[in-house]
Amino acid sequence: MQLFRLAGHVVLRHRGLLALYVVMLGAFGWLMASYVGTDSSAYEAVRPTVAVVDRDGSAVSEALADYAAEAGELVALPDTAYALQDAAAKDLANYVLVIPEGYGEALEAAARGGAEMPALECVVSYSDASGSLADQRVRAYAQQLYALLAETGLSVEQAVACAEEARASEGAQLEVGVIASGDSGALPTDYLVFMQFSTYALFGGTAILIACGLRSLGRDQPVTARLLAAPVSDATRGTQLALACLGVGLAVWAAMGVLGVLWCAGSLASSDVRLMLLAQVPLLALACVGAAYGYLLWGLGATGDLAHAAGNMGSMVLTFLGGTWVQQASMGAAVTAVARLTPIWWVIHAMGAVYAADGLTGELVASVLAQSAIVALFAVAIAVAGTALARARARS
Amino acid sequence: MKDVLSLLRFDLTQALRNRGVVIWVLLFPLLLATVFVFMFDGYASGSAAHAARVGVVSDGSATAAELTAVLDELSDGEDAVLEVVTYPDEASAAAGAEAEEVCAYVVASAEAAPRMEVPARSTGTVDQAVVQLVLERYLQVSATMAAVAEADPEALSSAEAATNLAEALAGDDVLTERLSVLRTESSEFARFYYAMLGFSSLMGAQVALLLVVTKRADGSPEGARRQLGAVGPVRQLAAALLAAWVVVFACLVVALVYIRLVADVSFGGREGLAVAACAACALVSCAVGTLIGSIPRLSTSAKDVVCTIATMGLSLPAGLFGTPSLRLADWLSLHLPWAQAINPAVQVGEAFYRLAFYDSLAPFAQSLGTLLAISAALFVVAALFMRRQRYAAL
Repeated sequence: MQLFRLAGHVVLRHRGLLALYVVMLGAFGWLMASYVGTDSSAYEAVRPTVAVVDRDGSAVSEALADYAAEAGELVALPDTAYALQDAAAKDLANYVLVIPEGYGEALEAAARGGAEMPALECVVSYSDASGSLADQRVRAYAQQLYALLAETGLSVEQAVACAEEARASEGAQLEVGVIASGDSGALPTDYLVFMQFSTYALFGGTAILIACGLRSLGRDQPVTARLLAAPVSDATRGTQLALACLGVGLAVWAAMGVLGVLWCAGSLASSDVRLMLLAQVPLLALACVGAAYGYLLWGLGATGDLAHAAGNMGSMVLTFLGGTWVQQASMGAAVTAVARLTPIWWVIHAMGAVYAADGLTGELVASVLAQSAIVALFAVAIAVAGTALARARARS
Repeated sequence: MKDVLSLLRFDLTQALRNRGVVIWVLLFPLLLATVFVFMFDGYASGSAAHAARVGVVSDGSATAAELTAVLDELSDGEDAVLEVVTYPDEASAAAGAEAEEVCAYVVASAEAAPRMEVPARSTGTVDQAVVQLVLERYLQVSATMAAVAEADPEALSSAEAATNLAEALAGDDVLTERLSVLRTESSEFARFYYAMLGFSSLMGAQVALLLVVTKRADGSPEGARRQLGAVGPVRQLAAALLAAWVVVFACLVVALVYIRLVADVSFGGREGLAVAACAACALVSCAVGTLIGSIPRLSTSAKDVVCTIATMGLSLPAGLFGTPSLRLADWLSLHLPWAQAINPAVQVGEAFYRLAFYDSLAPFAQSLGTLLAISAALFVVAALFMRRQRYAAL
């Protein structure tokens, strides 16, 4: 096993590659995971960022401005065309409410005397539905004021006060509960996201580490010429090198596993360890695919930029098809059909099953193992192709 | 002049024959853009315009029927706010919410006020806030009626008046008009493409890095021989930088044309100026590559790693890597604007952004000015490095 140890050491001494493809990609996965947050036992309504441009200055507009500011995070915005463009272009505010001059009087006139209903103006963010939500909130409040002015004898100031009183009253408060989860051992969402993004490192990172790390043992290298003269058969040498590649895959898998547990330690505290281990099975199979791919690249003599490109581009395409960047459910039928022919799709699918599980069951274990076996078949197929190509090149 | 042109031709050939340059500076951005095209295709219809799926559990009472009728009304038509799913009991509704069939479920009964339950795995979503708003509006009708009864009892003197007030409170008379303030319609996906151009610019730093290390005495054996050649080092460097600029500029224009035609990314009808922006981006790319190439006492492979880390690290706050990095970019813009101002990847994205969305060209010109200033600063530092090592290595 001398060659196995040597090859393993040679690869793992490429600290720059390890830093890039294990630590940096792990940190990237952590960044993505930190964005989704952790499970919560309390409900807190989303608060869009809101800016208000009040060109009216009436009691109605002040009430609307106060309400909009209260319903979201207020962002200061000067009343200039450039500032509005800046806010919209950079998405500085999810919702910019512009209250036109004379709006308060016009609303009162519309309510009392049936005059034409004035319109509020707004700029709604393109980024998500928060802006539309803020718009609905403002409209609901303005509607409340309009109804009070139209159907009661209250003055504007009284209508505002009445609306405030109604909103603050106990009867207007909605009780929102968080469903008491029976599956207390379920995996947290941030850990799932971390694992999903670790697929990039497990496939591409492992492959690049092997292809570049084993460069000194390439067919055209002097070390190989000396190894060929050693009293070791071709089969033994090939087996030891293949095992070394597998060892690198295992090392990357273990490193990502440890990083995942460390970075998501807080949210994993109440998770079922058996589910965590089960979720690692498809990832282990993927690390084997990455190792096989690296072995194939190495056998083909891919080095430097070519190995990096093959690893990164392959990883990028496969993680996209697998559902790392976009949920599998959001993919079109044609993309899904192609994606099912790739290993990462099965990995993400298996991890999704573990994430959705209430607890460990025989059916779940069988399903995950079956999907992991499919992934492992990819590893076998690629490794066989790599061996065949390497032998063909050696004979040529 | 003739010798510089000869060197330029040689450097161009050297750069274009380099596999890394072709892969990373030309092909990789195109692949990235292609992935973006497929990735955003499913969202092109606009994620903001969808109905929130909500579960309803009713006890069949008249009070519950009143609430479910309100919810059903909001789930009708093309502009439906809600999509209602009825569950027979709370247990099945909870299972549905946890399986993400619905964002929340509502319990409607005669014995208590409506209650909303959300799954612990996703609390505080926009869809849940929409359901909350609908329910709060429903509750506020009776709360407002109670407040009016105190403030103006005469307004509720007749049943008809009370009904009119209730209908007006639940009505939809107030109008909001959405303003279109940008030159061209914006989308959250445009930011990714502009950030990708920033990333491509930094990837282009490899070209200048490659050509600089082959010109410097301490960069490579070839560089040492060149330092002793007939053409002076300054002219050699000038030819190398010009060649690097031409290559990066051409690659950026290819990427620009690709995302304009294939991804349909808008530049606000200012494609000519976008090409001019590519010229500034190529310059900053050369400056970054030159600076890294001139770092003393660092091997070429270590410089490659520095270049890769710089590319990834500077692209992160530019918002390339998904929503979390966009949030990071927004946070930095708000709290550490100077860090964004000196980041070339951010400024490249900003330049295209300002070009496409602002009426005035002043912000765009400001971005170009910033890029030129960053380039100048980097070139000055690189020159200082080179000056100090020029004779020591020989």
